[in-house]
Amino acid sequence: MYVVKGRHMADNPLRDPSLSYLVGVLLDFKGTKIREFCQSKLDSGADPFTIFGELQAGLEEIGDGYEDPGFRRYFNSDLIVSGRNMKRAIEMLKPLLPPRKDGKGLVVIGTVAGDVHDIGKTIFAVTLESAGFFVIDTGVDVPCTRFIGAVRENSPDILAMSSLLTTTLPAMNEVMQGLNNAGLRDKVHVIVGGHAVTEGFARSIGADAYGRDCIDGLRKCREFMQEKA
Amino acid sequence: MQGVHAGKGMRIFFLYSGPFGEQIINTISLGGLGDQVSGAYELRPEQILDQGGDNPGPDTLFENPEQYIPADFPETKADLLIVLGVHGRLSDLIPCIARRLMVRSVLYPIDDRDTIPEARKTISDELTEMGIHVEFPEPFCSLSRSRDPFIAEFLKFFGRPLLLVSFEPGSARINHVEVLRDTPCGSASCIAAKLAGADTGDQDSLTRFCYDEQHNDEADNYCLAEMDPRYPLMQAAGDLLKDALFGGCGIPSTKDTILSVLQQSGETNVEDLAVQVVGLPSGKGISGCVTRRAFDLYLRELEEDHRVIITARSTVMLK
Repeated sequence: MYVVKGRHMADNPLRDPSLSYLVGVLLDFKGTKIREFCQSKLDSGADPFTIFGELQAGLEEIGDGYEDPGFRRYFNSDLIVSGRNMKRAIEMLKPLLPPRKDGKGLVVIGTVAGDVHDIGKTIFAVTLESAGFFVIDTGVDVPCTRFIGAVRENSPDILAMSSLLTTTLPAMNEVMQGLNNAGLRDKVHVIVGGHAVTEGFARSIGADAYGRDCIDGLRKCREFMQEKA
Repeated sequence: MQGVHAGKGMRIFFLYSGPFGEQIINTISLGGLGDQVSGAYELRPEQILDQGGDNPGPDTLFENPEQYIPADFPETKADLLIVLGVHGRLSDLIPCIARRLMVRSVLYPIDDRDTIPEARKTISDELTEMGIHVEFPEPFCSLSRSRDPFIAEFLKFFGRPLLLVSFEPGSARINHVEVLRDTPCGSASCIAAKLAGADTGDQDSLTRFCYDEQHNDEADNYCLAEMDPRYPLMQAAGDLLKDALFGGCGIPSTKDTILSVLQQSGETNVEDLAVQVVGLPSGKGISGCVTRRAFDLYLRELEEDHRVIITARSTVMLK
């Protein structure tokens, strides 16, 4: 019986060969390799942040390959599986994280009302967490009032909204207006993303940034925090 | 087809890339066809990009594809070649690989725009000239019928889901779901295992459960097809799974709804019919689909089955 037991990335050169093992770990759909990787790193004395950092490099390699306009090397399925494996790593390592006082920023994130798509938003949340951000995930199908309430209660540095369906784009605009009406707009950076969102749309509703994908979104969130520093 | 004997002795070879391919290979191998797999080979774009030397990369691959077949490609034979998630720009290699493997049929599912073969027609023509049958189901789990004996044999196990539902005595609650044909990704089996106790009287909840679970990445197997609303293969796969479940439960499926609308309205413009069926919530004996893609597929099949007639004026009526 033929069963794929794992990827043999050593035979599979990447543009940056040093990342080949990490990419193999992140693209193992069964999730065995990510657990083994995290455990072996912990056994060798690595702290969870270092492990996240290494995995982040692998995730960025996949993200770069996905974005490569000349020759896309990774697909939607690779993003989903690597995102799932990052979630597995976080589930395993999160309990071991010391309380961080020097977090890179607090982000409130959610998928807007009328849209129940979870994957893109979760991948972005996980990407942010693995890059050192604190994330409050409000979930999917989040009404305007809940976004406003979360911003008021938690005073985040960034509000991130996702939308996969074009029909739910007005809900993003509603949140922007809600922030203005509540006097909260100048207290939080807003980034929007998801398949339904374009850069032009982000500008039209007055968002501070558009995240083309989770890697681009992370880059923008880092820039927000640099501005604040 | 003379001299062809699909069935127990059929040998399958997988040419794949990434976790999308791995998941499907594992599902197929563990789901009844494992003993018939003669091999699998992962073909990544990097293997072509990084060859260097006189080999300038994928842009000229079509000129002499044979020279791009990796040196470590296995020497084996197969009847059916299944191409999974291989980059569309490497597709010119497929006829050479098919010839080398001496296959009789190629199954080339498309579950992501990036895997659409760049020269689909050329490849199809080349394979046909070699006497090799090829099909491009889009998404993979839309495959439900084939005149090719090897693909037909494959369809006894995998393709569009086929479910048989039994109920708790005197109740609309599901007792057990038997998977007669699983989706190649294995999501149908995963969902079926979770359906015991579900109330089929609440069709709205049943529909939501089905769509949510189909791409639930916490499950052992889940749909990895592209979900971009501009190319909604994952959503179409969700429609197919929902209708398989409804069909298994004896609840009207999207096809039943199409027929029912046509019965009431008579000859109808295809676009008007789509408006009535796509996006229709499930319940009260009706059931629509989320995607236009699934609607078009169902309409085409109803025409093939002589249930409807589609006219040159793009109207449709019951036969």
